[in-house]
Amino acid sequence: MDYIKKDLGAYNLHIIKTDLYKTITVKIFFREKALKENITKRNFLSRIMMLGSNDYKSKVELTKAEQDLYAVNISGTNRRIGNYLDTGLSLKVLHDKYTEPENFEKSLDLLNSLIFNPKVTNNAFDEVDFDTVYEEYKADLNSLVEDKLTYALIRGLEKTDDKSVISYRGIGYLEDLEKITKENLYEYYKEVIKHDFVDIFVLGDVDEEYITNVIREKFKINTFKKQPINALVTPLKSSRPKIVKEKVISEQDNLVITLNLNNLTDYERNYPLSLYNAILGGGSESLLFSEVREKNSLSYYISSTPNKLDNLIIIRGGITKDRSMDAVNIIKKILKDLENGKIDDDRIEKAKEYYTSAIDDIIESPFQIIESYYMIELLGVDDIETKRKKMLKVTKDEIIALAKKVKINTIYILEGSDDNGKN
Amino acid sequence: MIMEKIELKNVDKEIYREVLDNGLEIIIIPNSKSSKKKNYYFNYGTYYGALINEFVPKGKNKMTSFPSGIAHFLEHKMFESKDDIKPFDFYAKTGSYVNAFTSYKSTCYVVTGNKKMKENLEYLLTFVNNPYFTDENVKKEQGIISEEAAMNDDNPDYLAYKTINKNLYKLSPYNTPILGTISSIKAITKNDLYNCYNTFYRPSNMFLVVGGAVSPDEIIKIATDTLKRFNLEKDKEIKVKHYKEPVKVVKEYEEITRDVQVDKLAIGFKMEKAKFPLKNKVILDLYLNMIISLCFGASSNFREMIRKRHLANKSGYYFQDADNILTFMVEADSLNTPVYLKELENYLANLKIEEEDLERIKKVWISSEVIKTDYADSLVDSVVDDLINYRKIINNYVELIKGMNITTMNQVLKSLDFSNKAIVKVTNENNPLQNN
Repeated sequence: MDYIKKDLGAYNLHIIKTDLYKTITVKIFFREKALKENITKRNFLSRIMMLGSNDYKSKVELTKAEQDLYAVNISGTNRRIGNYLDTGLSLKVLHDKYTEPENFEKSLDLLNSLIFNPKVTNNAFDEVDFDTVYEEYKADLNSLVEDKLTYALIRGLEKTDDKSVISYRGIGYLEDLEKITKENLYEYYKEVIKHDFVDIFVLGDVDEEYITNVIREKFKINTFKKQPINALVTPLKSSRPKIVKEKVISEQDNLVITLNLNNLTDYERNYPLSLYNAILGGGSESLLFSEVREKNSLSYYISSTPNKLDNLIIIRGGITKDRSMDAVNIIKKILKDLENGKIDDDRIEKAKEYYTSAIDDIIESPFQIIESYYMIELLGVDDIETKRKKMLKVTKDEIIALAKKVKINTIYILEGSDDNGKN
Repeated sequence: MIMEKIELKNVDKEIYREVLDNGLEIIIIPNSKSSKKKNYYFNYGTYYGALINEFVPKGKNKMTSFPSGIAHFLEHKMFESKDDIKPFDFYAKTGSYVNAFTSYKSTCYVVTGNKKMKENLEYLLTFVNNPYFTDENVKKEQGIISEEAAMNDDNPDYLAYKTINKNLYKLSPYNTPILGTISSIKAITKNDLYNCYNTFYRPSNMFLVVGGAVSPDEIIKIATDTLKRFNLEKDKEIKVKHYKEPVKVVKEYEEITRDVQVDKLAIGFKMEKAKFPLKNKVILDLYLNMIISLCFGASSNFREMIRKRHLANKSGYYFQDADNILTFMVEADSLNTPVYLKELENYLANLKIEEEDLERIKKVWISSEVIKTDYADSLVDSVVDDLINYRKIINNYVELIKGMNITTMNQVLKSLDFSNKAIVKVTNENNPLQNN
């Protein structure tokens, strides 16, 4: 796998040359500072862009065009990475040697059209498309409470600190949706195209010079050069742990516990933290799984995830109704034990194995490969081989030192209640 | 040992097949020699899922009925072990992934990893052949699975799905969720589990599919040597109760009140499979999937219409195969239920497919057959699906797709009968989002 990065002025072009895949994958990242008021607009924008363009007037026409290009697959995703809102628009299509000459370039044209030639008249997005997205999006936002797992997570983060970027709802807000018009959406679109940071990745059995020329020709973006912001979120202030309970009609309790990470060094964030989390709740051999689920049968799912850029670990579990506090007490004991250094060497070895396997897994998917290079670009993290070496050298003392920096911020319980509505 | 070599036609891929003396069928799909990928994928499965609740247990001669949900329960219980080391621990030690899945037709144990291939395969074959059920560990599992069921019931989509199946099928076990019901889960005993285990977890009722960074000879050797320890022999055919499901639905309409923001619709149209002109199941499935793709996929006018008129937010369409019955299933988050239902009915009464559209989707499908060969896990999944659905490997999908034509398509379309349906609506009394 050869990796080349080129500064094309307005954006970076990253070429990853490999014959591991019969496809060529292109992914374009747009990112900007995470502002709460932009989340909904940004989601709206990527939904409407995926419906068509001036060249493909309807979703049907667009889908047929994609199918004609040997099923080129185009998709868009939005997420928050620390202090950034990040949008990825991607394309995956069979290499021309398995289809026909110029199929790849035509596929690029299609993606190009969706991004740069949106269905806009009189400085406003197409009304029919706008209404379609609006109604669908509204229904999604209204249905949020139906998915108890997601809803509990959102509420748990809001109860942790509703001012901090960590609590921003990735799915967006109903009150912001109501403010969006087809005109101000177009204004925002122009902002994104002009001002966002852009990185373009191309992965496949490709020629460097050819790709450079073709991307330069088709993606004429003129973004202003800006100072990058720090992706890392300021750690939350620690005070006494809060307990917040809310009720919903449900067959089980949904528990969310947020853990502050205080004063982590970069090294701790990238290495001991991964191992600490794997031991705590990373998988089916973790302490949470074995204590809460296997030993006490209190739950079916229970796990923890580190949001390293947010300086947070989030524990989530579906707990037997009315037994959440039992689970909380078990979890508190686990955290205490870790802090006191009660960690079997065996668990550390397993966490390391887990991590090195994940590294070897990266080449199994073109999107994973692109993601790992993007993180190097965005966060300046170590490359894969350095990561492997450093991770294997992490000591037990370093993990214990990290455990001492972990403090419960909020215990949030979305309590199941019977109420009416039962058949 | 001479292994059978099977060419996956038109996609430049070879796979290997061997049946051991004890009856276990093994399929191996190695990466190309030059590949640098390190992952391997194992899928060790039994042709036993939630559809089988009545059978003659091994060593007995009477047809016996078991509580629903038992196949899934058994799957959970296979992760118990007499030793201190349990499967989850074992695989964690090598940074590998283990999981299991129960469907209506099968139970599969999967392992993925990129280290210690030999040990991991040996252990998979060992733990699945080493049941350890006690009254105590059965009781513990009842707690965990009840939480899994509670989690599912909290999801209104699942509730609609579960209810439509109950209202569609009178006899077929499709009428009960794979997990069973809270009361059937509580009724399961240690002895029930051993009876099911001893009957269905036998090499002649199982398969092992392996893909990725592996060598065929090595896999066969590991499997043969490991299974030798268990003295397993080839079994006679297992007697399983078959149901002749009546075509008529059980209950045509049901409304459930829940705290939902949009109506959750589940609709099933029950048809008799014998009425279809194609007797070859593989080919019939291709045509049925083509109908789903063309008439209900992103390029269909129907989808465009419901999108533009805001009739439904999300909707899914598929065929469910229940022996003598074929059911066309619809699941939708409806924004205007009366109009959506009326438009759906109109559309179904006039289904039509143009030749040029059929040809276009053929191209899409052929591309995806080629792309699939890049991913060992997809190849493994696809072979496992073939085994579960057809009990054989289909090695000529590209040819079969190329052979699809508009004449046959029209015959299949003509055989669809949407007259016999059941509808379930999960709704809120004052549903705020209905745009009447």
